[in-house]
Amino acid sequence: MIRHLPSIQRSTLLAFAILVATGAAFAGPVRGRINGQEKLVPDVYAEAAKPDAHRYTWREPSPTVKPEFRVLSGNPLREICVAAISQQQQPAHEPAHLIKITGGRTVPATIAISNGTRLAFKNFDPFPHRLYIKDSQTWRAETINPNMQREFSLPAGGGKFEVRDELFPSLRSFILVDQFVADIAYPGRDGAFELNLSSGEYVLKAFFNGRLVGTSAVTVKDKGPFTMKDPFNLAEAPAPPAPGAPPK
Amino acid sequence: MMLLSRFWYVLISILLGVSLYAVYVAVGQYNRRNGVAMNEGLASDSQTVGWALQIDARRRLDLLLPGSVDPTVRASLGAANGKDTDKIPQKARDDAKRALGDIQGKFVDYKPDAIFAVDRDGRVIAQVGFEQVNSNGEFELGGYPAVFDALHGYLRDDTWVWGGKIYRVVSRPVEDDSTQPPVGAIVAIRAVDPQFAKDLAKRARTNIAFYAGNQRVAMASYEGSGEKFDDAAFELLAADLPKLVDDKIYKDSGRSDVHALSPDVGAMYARLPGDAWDLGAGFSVLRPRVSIKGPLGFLSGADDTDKKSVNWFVLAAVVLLGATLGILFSFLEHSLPMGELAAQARKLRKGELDYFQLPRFRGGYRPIAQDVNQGIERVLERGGGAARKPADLESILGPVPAQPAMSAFSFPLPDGSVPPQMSPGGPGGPPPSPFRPPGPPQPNPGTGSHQMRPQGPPQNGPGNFGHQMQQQQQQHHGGHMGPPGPPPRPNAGPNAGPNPFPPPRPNAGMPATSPFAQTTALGGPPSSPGAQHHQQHPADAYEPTQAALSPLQGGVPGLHTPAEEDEATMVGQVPADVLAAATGESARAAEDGTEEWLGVYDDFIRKKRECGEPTEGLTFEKFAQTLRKNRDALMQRHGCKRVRFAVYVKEGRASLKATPIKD
Repeated sequence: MIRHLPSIQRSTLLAFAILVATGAAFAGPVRGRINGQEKLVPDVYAEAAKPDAHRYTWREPSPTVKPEFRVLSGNPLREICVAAISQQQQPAHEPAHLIKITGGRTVPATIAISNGTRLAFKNFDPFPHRLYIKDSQTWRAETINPNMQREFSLPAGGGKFEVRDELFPSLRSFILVDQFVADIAYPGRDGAFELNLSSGEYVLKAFFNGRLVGTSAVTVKDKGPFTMKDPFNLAEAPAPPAPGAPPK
Repeated sequence: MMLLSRFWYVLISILLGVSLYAVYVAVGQYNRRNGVAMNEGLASDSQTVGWALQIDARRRLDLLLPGSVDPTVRASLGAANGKDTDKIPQKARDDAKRALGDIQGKFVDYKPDAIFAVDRDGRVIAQVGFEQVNSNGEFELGGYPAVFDALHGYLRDDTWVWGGKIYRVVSRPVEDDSTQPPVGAIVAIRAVDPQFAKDLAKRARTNIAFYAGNQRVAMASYEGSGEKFDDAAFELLAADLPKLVDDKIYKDSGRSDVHALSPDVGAMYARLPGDAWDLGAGFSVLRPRVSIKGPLGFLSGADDTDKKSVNWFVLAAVVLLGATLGILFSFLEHSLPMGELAAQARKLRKGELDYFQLPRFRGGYRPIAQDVNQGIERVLERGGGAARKPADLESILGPVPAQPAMSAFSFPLPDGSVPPQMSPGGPGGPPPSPFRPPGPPQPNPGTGSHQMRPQGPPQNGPGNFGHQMQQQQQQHHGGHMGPPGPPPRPNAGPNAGPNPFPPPRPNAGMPATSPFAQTTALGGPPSSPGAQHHQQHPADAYEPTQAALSPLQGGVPGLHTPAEEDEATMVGQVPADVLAAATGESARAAEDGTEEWLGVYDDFIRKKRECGEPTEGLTFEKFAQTLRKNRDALMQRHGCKRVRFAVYVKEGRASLKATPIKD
């Protein structure tokens, strides 16, 4: 249900819940803006664009669209998750976090959440889905009929989970479990995001495609709201060197 | 022997075997070639369907252009992309829906089933044709790569599988400002249903079935080829589709080899591009494999068109020719000789023939007739008939009448009487052969049987040995029925002419007899009518080979060597009075160049006396006259320059041997 609310309301409610749970003082919204998201390309679309992927017979750029707009950058509202990592362990979120299944993906596609939080995958498509967690022996593929949902309880200890759909190869979602996640936000089209945090020191982490693409430290004062002066720069981490490759 | 008929049977059998072999080979080759043709046809069909799908996507993509530039759609999408990311203006939804309806209505060909307007976030702000999501405000399309690409400025096609149904998808970006990213995308989908499959099958001219997740989705057969494809063959796909999981070629290349759904149906699978590639969706083309079970399959599988191509004229001609040849051969080799055998048997029964006429028989009938003839003779001999003797001059030159007026060898006795045995027509003549009823000869050159008929006194007068010899030769040749005897075998010497004296045939050891042997005494009494009256053996008389090999009757010139004594012409008994009379004719003999006959005459008289034979009345004149006529006949017959006579004793009787000498 929280996902049906506007982002600001959701953040407020989430901060309130955290405040209640931790007893910390609510400081107010923390606003920021991401930068560099246009360079983040979802893997699934990058792979689908390759000719040898057999995903199309015709794929050609529109001549009236400028090349800079033809970059297959991810949609921040769906793909980039900004999480505020607290220094204290955070309680599980209640109720279950709703994840919509529609349009060949889940909304959101990446989520960072604290331990014990339940996720509810609801099918908004008029046809069934069969979601499963990759390499998981416990959350295997099951049919989720239209308007039905399937829950997933995050295991203790953290980790990263990749959700896929047997019937929709473009669906690749990532669940990042961190017991210190205080709040999460999804930037808008302009890259702006807002977190509701209590006072304290946080580390903002941006996740994209299940990977960490940006980190920024923020200290929330008692007085809010707090606006980050510098943009939250996002970038793909450099790929690790290949085995045997000379160090740069 | 029925060689022709047997050869015909063998030939027919060989032809039948060759035909069967050819048919079996043809069946195998036909099936193999059909299998190859089916495989090639399926590969071609699969490629054609792939191209048809590409063309189909291209057309749909191009026809979606008006929707991508539609002002209402652009404005609606622009409104949906406002600052409020959580709420889409209802007006924008309504306007976009109307615009999409108009766009869809303008399609004539390649009309999509549904059209979606998708904003920059991937949300569907409006759609037409996909009523399932009318009340679903959360429905999005932005996660599909095709829509994602369109939202980033690409035209693309895709294949989706929604709920087991396959959708062909095309998407285009919707641009409102060239300085800005696309405001959204317009997406058109076309369900792969039976109508889609039918249209595609018609364009690709093949039988096609779409499948997804091991389930058939749509199928259609091509009906334009004149032969309706059995739709029941599509049912075979259900059992074969699960096997694609293990088909490495299919998984790697996207196109399988030919799968034999049944002995009569082959299929080739191909994966559909797009999301369907990983979802086990694709299409299969099917073709019937026309195979023939066996040689008769050509007949059972032929239709009226095939039967019209048969050249019945040639077929009937072959049948008629084969039947005619078969009947002809059986007639020639069975009916004809059997009829001849029957006819001669009837004549034999009626007494018109004494023996079967061997030259008129061929093949296996001749030895049968020969056996019958020998059997007849054996029966006669057992009943006191004539024994066969070696052929003497009389048997070769013809009958020698006892009367001087009748024959040169018929020497009148001193008392003017005629030896009874030398007067065939007289009261003292030899008794007629049991096979020869009395009466004048009835020459029948056409039948060749006159020699077996009663032979009275020669009508050509005495001393007409030429005629007699010719007549005898005709008898040996079966009258005028047959051609002259076969050419003689070459002689051993280089200058030697054809050898008229071939080795005797196997039964030549038997003494040859002649009707003239009845007068063997030549003035003397026959020793025994039954024993002395030889009758020419029918086998000798009718055997062409034997006749041709006879030195004097074969009509073949040649030399006669002493070594061939048994085959030499021999003169039978010459009355002694003839020799005596001849002594006064030495001058004439010298004129004729027959001085040497005097010695022969002396030898002959001496031998006869030594043998106890009478010599009364055998004058040299008559002796020489006889030899002259024989010599002339032999010279004319054999083309020799002279004839040498020699005397010898055979079987206790003096005989003469005539040897033609060429040089």
